[in-house]
Amino acid sequence: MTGQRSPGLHSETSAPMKESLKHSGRRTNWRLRFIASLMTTLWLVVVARLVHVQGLQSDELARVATRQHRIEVEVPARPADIVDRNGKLLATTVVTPSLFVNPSRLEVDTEFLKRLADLLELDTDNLAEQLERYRDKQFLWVKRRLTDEEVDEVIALDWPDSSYGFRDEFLRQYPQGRLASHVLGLRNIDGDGAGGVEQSLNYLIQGRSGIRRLVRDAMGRIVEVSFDPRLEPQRFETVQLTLDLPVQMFAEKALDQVAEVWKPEAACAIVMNPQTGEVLAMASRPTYSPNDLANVPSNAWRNQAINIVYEPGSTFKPFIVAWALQQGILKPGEVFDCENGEYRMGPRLLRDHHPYGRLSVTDILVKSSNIGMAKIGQRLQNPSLYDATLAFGFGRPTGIDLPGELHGLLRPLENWNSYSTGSIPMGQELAVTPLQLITAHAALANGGRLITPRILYGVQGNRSDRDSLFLTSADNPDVAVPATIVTGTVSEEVAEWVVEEPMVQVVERGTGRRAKLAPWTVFGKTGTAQKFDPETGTYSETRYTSSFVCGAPASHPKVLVLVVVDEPKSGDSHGGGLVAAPAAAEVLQRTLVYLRVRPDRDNRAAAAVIQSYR
Amino acid sequence: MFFRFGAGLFLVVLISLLGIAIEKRNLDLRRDLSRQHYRMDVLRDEHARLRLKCQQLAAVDRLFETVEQDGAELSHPELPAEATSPLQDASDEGEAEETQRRIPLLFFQKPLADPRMQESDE
Repeated sequence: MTGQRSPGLHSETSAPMKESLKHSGRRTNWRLRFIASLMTTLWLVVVARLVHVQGLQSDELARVATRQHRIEVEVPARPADIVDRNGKLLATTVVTPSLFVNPSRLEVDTEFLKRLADLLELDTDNLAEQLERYRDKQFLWVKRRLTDEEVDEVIALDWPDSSYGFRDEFLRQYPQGRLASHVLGLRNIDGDGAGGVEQSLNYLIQGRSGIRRLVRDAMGRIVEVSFDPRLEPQRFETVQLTLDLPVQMFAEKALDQVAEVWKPEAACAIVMNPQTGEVLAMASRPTYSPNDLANVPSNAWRNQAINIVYEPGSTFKPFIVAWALQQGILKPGEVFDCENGEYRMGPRLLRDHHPYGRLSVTDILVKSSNIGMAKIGQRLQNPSLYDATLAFGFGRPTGIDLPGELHGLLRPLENWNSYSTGSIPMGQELAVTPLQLITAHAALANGGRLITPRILYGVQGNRSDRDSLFLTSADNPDVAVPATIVTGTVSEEVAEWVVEEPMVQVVERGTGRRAKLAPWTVFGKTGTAQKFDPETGTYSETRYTSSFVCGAPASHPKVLVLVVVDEPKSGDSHGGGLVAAPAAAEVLQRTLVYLRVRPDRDNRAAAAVIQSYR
Repeated sequence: MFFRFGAGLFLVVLISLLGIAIEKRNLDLRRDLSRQHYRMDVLRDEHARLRLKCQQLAAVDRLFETVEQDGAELSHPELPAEATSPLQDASDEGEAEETQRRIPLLFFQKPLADPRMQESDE
């Protein structure tokens, strides 16, 4: 019964209820539609924003995000090592920490500053002043390139939080000390080459910086270091020089002895392989150690082999003889009247050191007769003399890879006069660098080929521009070598005759007797040039430049040595044969033994020489 | 239906966990790679430092000083006539190769039968 409802009752209540339901249903529908439309709008906004973010703004936002969690840091290329021709290390780079502070956070007392300054050998007042001046900054170098001990002691100090740090920097080191210091040069505190091959070959040594990408988290901590081989620093591993360290040391020792005995203003020695133009040694006095630059005399920076010019004197005479022979206006067997020591050449009276009568061409060089040379000069005349000086490379830099090489002094032909005809053949009225002189003598020693002297043997490493800069070495495919530039001077026959006849006789019985070596046939030429005195405007009677150039074996020279001594002061005589020849001969002999050059004279004498080095 | 829903959910969770594991492993490997590169940098620095030390100790000047002061046990060098120079010209190249010096420095060499060396070996 309860389940049955009367139709009357139903019909009575259904009308208002229907109305009410209809009303509430309309309201609900409206709400539903409102919510639905709101939701749809919201979703549309979200979708629109998503499209905006993902589509329109995506690139910019991606850039911002990348910027926030990725950093790119520049990685400087480690400068290439410099080695000698046998791979002995001449210069290398190590990483050392440098100390910096954050002045804005470094609130310390005077006692702390004093301890820090004492530890790092700094001036306390200066350090305090620096900190005060940069108080509002966040970075200040305290000391760069600390030793390991200094780093340990610095860390042990009681520093305020986040007030200091270390940054790694490159430090150039020269393990051979003062050996070849002028050739090597230096790198300054910012890593730029200054002097020597460090400067001239900086484009090979320094390399190109690379980029390293770091990824950091929300806290700023580095969580990943990305390595991209394409972005790594580009550098050559090794720059190899033509120097041979033991030969360099022979030259340095010889100069030390010269400096001790003759007390000169300056001196230099060059050892060269005349067949290739490779410089085996180049030493200069006064000198310095690149590892200790505190007390270097101001004149020690100069490389005397390329940064000075001097009148070559008699060492220049063989070139004029060779040129005259080449031009066909002189015969090897000719004899000249040397006028018993006095010869009037126009307004000028020429004198020899000793009165000579008739001298052959060979004897003119052996006795170093100025009159004989002047007469050869008269035959050549000025234009041909000028051609001779140019042909042997004087008046222009040799082109060696060293900075600051001087041109020498060679006046234009139109400024030459009758004096020049007598002076030039004697090695006066022009000035040369020691390197120019030995390069020209190398041309005589190698059969007349003037070769650009080389200090760079080659490079090792895989920098991308290697093939555009160098050739691959025939001996070692890992080494890239520079091209050799050769020009002709005189014929092979003429060069051989000058070397094997007059220049050998100079050593056998002439002014270079002190350079005679028993096992090898040595050729050479002495030079004693009066220096110009600016006070009197004439040649000085007391100041000389003594030089000696020699090589061996004469039949096929392997080694050429030049020693130039500027203003020797001890003793009475300052001839090149006395001052420079013994030192040059010592270097030559040691080098020949070291290089195992076959004796062309006496094997027993060679054994005795070697035994003497025990 | 519940089984299907559960299986689907399990699959989604499993794939997510797998993805997380792979990502984690990927990060680990990249971190290891970074560490290896860092170690290589450190070793390169150490190599440069040790090479410098080694070359300082074996500097030609220093060795020569020892030899001059008679502080080194050395045998006299071979005769130059027995061999050729490293600066030999092209015609002597073959001969130069055969007789190339093994100890170039200063042209001296340790005697092979040095009794003190034998003692130290024992």
